[in-house]
Amino acid sequence: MIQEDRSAAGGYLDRPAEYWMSFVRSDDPTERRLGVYALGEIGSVEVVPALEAALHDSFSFVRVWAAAALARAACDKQKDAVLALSAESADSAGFVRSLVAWSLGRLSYQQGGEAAAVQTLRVLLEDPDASVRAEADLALHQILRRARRMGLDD
Amino acid sequence: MSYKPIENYGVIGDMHTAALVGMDGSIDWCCLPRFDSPSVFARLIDDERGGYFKISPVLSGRCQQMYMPDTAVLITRFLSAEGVGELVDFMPVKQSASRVTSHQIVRVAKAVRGNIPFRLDCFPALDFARQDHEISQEGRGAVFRGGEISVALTSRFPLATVGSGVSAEFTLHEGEEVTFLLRQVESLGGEADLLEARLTGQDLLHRTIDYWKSWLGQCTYTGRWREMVRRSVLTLKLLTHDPTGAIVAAPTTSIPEEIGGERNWDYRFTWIRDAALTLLAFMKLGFTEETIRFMEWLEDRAKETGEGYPLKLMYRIDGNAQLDEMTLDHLQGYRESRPVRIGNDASNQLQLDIYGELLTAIELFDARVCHISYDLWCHLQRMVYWVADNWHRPDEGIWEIRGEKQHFVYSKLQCWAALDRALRISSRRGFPLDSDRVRSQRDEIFQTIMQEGYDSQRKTFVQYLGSDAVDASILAMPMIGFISPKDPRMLGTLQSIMEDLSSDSLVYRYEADKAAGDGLRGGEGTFNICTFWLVEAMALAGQVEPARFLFEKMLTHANHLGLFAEETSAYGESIGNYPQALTHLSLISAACTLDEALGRGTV
Repeated sequence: MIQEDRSAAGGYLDRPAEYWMSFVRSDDPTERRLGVYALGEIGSVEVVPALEAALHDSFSFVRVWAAAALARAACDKQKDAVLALSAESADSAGFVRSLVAWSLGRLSYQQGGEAAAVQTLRVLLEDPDASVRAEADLALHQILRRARRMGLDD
Repeated sequence: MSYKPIENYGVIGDMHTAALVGMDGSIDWCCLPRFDSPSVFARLIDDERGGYFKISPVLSGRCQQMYMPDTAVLITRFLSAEGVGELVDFMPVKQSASRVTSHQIVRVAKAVRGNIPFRLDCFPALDFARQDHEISQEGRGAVFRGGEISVALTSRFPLATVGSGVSAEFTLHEGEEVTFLLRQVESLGGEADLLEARLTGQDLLHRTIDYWKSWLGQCTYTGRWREMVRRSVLTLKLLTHDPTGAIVAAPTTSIPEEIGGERNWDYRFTWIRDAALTLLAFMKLGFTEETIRFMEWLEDRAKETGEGYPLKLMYRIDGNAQLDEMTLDHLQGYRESRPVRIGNDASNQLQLDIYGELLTAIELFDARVCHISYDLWCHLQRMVYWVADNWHRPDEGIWEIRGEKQHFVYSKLQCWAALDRALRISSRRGFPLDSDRVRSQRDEIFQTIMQEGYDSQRKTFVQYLGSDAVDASILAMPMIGFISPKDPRMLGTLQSIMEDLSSDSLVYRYEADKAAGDGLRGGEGTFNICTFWLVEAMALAGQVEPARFLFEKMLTHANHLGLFAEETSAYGESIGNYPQALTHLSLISAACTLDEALGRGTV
């Protein structure tokens, strides 16, 4: 399921998807991160394969952004995104684990996947890094609040 | 051109430097690491080349600004049918217990209602757009390196390099917030330490709020204009350089006194006059630490026994007296008001009034806050004798004219005050002083002003000896105790100023066609300090209700945050450097005097 409203907006930072595709192919991991993020913001069906491929990037922070972008670009890929994000929750870099927690809190879970996300976030609540714990706590609150609003809170 | 009105800015600061934040979420002015350093963002004086850092929703709607109560933490609100977004901006203060030691701006974007799409654009233009920079992307953000300064922007979202800056678009869901840190990188060539933003930002926000609330809690003012007075004194504190206690006249340069005009000056320095009057305002409101710090700074200046005058009239905040002026001709100037100047050649002028304002502040400090040292007295004594020997000289005066020197009455008046206050201190403290010599000169000044500084036909004191021009600076006469506020000569002067210098509630500083020429073309707006002086002089003269009406009317010219520039145009537009210390200290003084005249406890 593609979120048509964003793709209709005409690209990211006034640049079309093709422009950002070249960033995804860059040798520089920060450019690849930017590329996957931009594609996620554009959210057209054409960007999904590139984002799926980026889930296997050699840099964990690129993989995390690719997963978050994939969930944003295609709701039916959200469960895959949650699994991909959860897989990075043991990364050695605190800022990557923090990013995982933050990203899990931002997903819409229209196609499910909350349970796996909540499980990962509960583990991250015990993280040695205070910023990771803080992001996990906020993310859990966001998921619960969203669930309450949708009347799904059991 | 897309220049915003000056009054559409809020100010944040850390008492080393300050930044102006527009109602559209754009930081259009900031110099790092100090007030008088080269700029990082200067779109205020060149909207194409100057550089800016904007975060705002991509929504059309209304913008509002407010300060968190009793703090310098600024909230910019964006309201639209689709939702409400907020931007919280502040510069952390008192960081000794924190990891963070460099100067930084913290920006927190929030989605208060609805899902809010934001856009971020950070385009530094270092050293007034004279210094190119390189951008490097790092894990947590971007670093801008150029010349003697580097700044780092920490961002949760990936930043795209776009020309000389970085941009990002992001959407926050309702209830979400994200923190951005823009920091000066301390060591050149060193690693840019891009900190984790959320916890760092939260910690700094709590510390900063606590600091400001605690500081403002010392304020003893309980009168009718509590909000305006407290905002004014907080603004004065923002203009204070924490390490030295020096006070800048304003944090900006070259905001014009007339749109398109050439009266565009650099105010990022410490004028002895402005600083002394600010101390009086601080003391009136119960703040003493600032006065002690400034006295130490002043003593250091007084020890510098160079050639020429006992004191320079202005210094850099670190006490350096080198303020060579230059124009930046590559910059457009605010709404094409050229030239843009940095440095200030007025520093080489003779302005005799500074000794009066200074001695008045010191006398009050000695009486109410802390006895001055003998060593400081020795320096002051030398200064006082110099005034006794030199008050006859023509000078450039309080208005810093760049034309021919004149015998300004205000300068003589303040020389009188300098000698008078020296006699008071000496008498009270038993400090040695050739009192006969000082007293005779003081009295001679008095007679000179009464005989040559008064126009008996117009029944008014005048701008300079022998002239017939009215000047609003004369309004200070009763405030410093030179003359009774109800003396017929003063009442006549008051009348002349109301008739010849006032326009609605606003007061021009002098009659341009009769006054001493300032060597420049074009006009200027009304001077806010003059309007507040008029309020105070009227209140002292017993014209209390008209003074109150004038004061209330003047307050309508403050911006939405209670801030004033140096001047107000005839149609209410803020012009001149902003926010300006003199305006805010004169507001405080007028409010206190008016409160007293109206009587405590009655509204």
